[in-house]
Amino acid sequence: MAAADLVKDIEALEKQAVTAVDSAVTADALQQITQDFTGKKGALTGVMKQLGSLTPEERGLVGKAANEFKAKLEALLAAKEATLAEAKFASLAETEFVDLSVTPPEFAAIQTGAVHSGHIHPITQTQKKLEEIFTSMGFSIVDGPQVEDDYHNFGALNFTDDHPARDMQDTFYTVTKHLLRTHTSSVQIRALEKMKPPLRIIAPGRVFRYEEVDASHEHTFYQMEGMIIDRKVSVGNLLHLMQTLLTEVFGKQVDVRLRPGYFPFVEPGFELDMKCLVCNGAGCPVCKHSGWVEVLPCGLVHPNVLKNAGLDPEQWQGAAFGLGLNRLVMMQHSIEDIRHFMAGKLDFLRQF
Amino acid sequence: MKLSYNWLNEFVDLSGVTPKDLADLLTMKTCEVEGFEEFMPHFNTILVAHIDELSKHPDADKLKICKVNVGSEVIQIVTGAENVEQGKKFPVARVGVTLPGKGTMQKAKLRGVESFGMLCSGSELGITTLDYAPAKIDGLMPLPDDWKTGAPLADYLGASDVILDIDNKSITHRPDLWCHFGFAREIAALLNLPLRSNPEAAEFKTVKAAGLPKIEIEKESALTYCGAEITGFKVQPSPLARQLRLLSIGQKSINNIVDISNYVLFEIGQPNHAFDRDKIGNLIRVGYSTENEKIALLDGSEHVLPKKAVLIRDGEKPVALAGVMGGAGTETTDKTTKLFLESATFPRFEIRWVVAKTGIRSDSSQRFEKAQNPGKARAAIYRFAQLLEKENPGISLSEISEVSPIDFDKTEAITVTNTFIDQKLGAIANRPASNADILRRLNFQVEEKGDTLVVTPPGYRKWYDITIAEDLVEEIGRFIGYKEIAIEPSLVACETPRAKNALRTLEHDLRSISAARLQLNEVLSYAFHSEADVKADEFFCKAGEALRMQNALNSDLDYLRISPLPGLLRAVRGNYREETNTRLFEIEKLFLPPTDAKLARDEVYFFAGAVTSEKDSAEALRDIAATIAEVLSACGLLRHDQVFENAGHGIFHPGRSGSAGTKDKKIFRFGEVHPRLLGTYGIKDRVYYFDAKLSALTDLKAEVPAYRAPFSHPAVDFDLTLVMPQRGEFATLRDVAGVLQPLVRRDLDKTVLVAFDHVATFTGGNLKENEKAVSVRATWRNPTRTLASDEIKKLQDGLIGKMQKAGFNLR
Repeated sequence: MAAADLVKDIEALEKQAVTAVDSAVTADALQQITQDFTGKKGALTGVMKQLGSLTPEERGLVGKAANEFKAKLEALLAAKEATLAEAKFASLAETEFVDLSVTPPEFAAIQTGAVHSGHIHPITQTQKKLEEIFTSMGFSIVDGPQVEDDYHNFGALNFTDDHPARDMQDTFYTVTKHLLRTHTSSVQIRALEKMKPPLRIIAPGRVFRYEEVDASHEHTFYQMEGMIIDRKVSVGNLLHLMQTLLTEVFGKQVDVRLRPGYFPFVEPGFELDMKCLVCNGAGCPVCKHSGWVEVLPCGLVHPNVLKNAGLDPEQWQGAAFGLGLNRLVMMQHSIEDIRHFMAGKLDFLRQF
Repeated sequence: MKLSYNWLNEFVDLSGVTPKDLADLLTMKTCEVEGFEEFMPHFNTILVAHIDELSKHPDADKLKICKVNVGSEVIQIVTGAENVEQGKKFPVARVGVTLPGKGTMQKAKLRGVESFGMLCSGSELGITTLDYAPAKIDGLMPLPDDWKTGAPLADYLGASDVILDIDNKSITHRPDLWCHFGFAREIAALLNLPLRSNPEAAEFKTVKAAGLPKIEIEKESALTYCGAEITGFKVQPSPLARQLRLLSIGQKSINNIVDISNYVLFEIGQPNHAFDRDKIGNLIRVGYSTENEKIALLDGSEHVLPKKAVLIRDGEKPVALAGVMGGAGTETTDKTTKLFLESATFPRFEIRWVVAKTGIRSDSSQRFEKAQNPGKARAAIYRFAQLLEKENPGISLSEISEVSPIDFDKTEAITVTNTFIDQKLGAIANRPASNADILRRLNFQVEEKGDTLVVTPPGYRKWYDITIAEDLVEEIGRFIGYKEIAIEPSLVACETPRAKNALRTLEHDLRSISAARLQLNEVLSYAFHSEADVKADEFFCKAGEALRMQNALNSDLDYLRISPLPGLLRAVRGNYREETNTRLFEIEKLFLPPTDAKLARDEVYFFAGAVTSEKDSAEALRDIAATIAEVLSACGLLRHDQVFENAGHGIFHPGRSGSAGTKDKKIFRFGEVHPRLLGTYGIKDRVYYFDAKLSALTDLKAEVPAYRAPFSHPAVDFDLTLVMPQRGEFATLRDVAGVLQPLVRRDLDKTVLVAFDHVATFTGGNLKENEKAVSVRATWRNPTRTLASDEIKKLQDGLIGKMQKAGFNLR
């Protein structure tokens, strides 16, 4: 057999294939065409078996034709498959109609034992628990936008115009020059704009930081802001609030301590630590052998923040804190990887 | 930032204060200490050793047996080093000594000969990076002959040290702490110890300057600029002790001039720059760049600057990016014989701006970004000269030329009362000193007028740091220690009852119902969606209206979500292969076009669910409808007011798409997700889905359900099975049956249809292929009486008649 003859054979196959694909009406038929032409026992294999007697150049020629045929057939099949799928989709309304206007039964009546019971996400479970603790202490739950403006997230909170937190490396911005709130502290200002002091509020919710995701970093996480505004608010009062909170959350007496910490919207500002519950302060790997675990930043509301919210700092004082819910849940359950929260795996969620 | 314990100890006597004590003290009173680690701990234990005798190993060609004099005794060591030499000195690690990365030395036998330690190379000592040739030798490190046999290396290289690691973020508000002396001053105040010396008050004899460049400052582009000339030195490697000191805080040694410049920076936090005097002219100008002005820096990089960056110019030519980095071509080299030493202070905002704009950072910019006290600029030059003089006696320093556009010594006093401070902190049991005395210990000037204190902060604390009374509260609080403050509940004001958050209550109710009763699991999905995601479902708004991110982490996260569907489909995809019944729900926010001009978006809470099922589609869809019915009931919409209907939504299978709500308002959409859409999300199973805006559900709750007293007469049910086309809808039968009056008045003497429900649907049997049989149940009642059998018969016949008239025959 000469090379030219084999190439002609392939061209003939191509014509047959085009006809076959054209007339196919089911996915099975397309499958059959693949087998018939390019399968192990297909027509093309038959042609290729005759390559033995050819020179390398001739083989190359036939090989090229064979590859072109294969590629063409694949494209034809894919196109036809899409057409068949669309044709099937077009008729779905008639062929697979299910009447959704019927009166639904009671869910309990159709429930089967084969299905697992449901679970609430550990973050929102904790959020609810915290909300219950704080509402029992007379706090209101307030909410604020996740897409914020610079003023509420930074400016009003006493961040200078050139503060590095505003950097695109730290904060998500939208094309409308808004930003995704980097902390729930933005709700402080929103609440003060609407509510009159004295007041006690918490604002749980989602916050965002410009951060690549790894085992200990997330660009999306949950915080809970808390703030009290009253005539006199002292560091002692803040300590009491924090100790009550943590004691309620952990269900046992928790010792807390304050260390200096710097945040533009509080003065003085603190990092709050609690005595490690694993070793009770003796030092262990969980607390990095310090006996204390860092829990949250807090402080007395900066007078500039009060001023920005239209309150006279001579008349009103405040305390505020920001609790990271992901961290808290991770601490409670010794969760090793922050990515579990947003991964949506049932195997994770069913444990809570 | 790294802090050397030994360096701190030069300024404040730390005997009795361990590094751990220091870390604890700073943690509780000043800043966050991330940890501390030893630096060259072996310098104290490795000794200078003299090779008394050298002999060949009897059984190994490459080994030699040394009699090594270690001062106190002579020990035997076997070494393979080729450069070991009798009569020379080398470092020795004896048995029991620990070398970095090598473990602890043990007594060993090498081919039968005992060895009591190891002679060391520079690499084994961990000092090959030093600018010191013997340390780089591939073999033992020869020591100078005049080093005393038996002395620890520390005597010549500096003692072992402990390096504290300070969390930079915790001192951004304390410009004074960006150096060793600053920390030493802080520690001295906290521990009530005197300072041993004050490098910020350094002085040095100067000579009259002949050819100092003239200095000009445009506006306030610099707060102060000091310059002086130094001659009479030689550019050479720094002494080993200085090299090691710099190495201990992570700085590489370059030469004595650069090293001293860095040393001053890390000692008093004052950035400074040594120009080769011969490479610059006679006019130094500090001023702003023009648009696209170019500069080449000494690290070899070249930059096109934005307009208004502060530059140092030699006449017209830029020679330094002010406060950030010196320029190329004017820096000191081996051949430099005369320095022009710059020590200037630049405004914080200028440096922050230029760093943000250009991304160029340095140890200098890091300090100027926090603001430095211009009052120490002059001291840096004197300190530089002092340090250079020590290794290069006879240097000459010119008078300093200083230009300052502002009076930086002026300090505003802060007025505060003891009452205010004490009230802000709370009750303190153990007070070490009065508020005024505490502030004095921290070097504040305090004038006491009864309860009032007039407080002037020291120059190094006044720049953006201590500016208001609350700052003084913090100083006193941390000095005393917050643990001394009594924990006291706040006095609760008698305020109006707290505001209820109905939306949040509903959210949590829905979570409980979904998980406890509807076998659904809560997932949380990202707010970020791809372009394909926003185009996949335009039910809540058009894809073009989705808000786009300016700096998305990647292009799949370009938009803020406008539908719950893509997130839930991704969660289904992550589970459905392992789970026959993947049942998920989510409650979070969509970001829709704003309705309030003051807000960026209309942020709408949704409640949505996605389910895969082992049941057939009809049953699975019935489950979804039952789920929705349960939720609607829980939200206050009683079952008899719920309306389910077929309604086309683009995301759904065209024959399995519906809505549920009241007769006036659609609240949920539900159905089977279109297989084409599932294909694009890589799902090869059927997925059933529902969603609703939470606000539509809270609206239901707000309505007070209408009440009527319980009926005292029974209702009458009637089941019948009707034949209708496969494509026929139950809703049609309900419409034919007539008006439903579930809440009929109790005193109305009239028989009404109170319910018309679907019971079951059948196909097959004797039905035609395109037909189905639908069993329904009609319920009548007359509130005032029990219906008689003939009345019931009449109602039943009437209903059958209506159905037949409409074309639906009894089966």
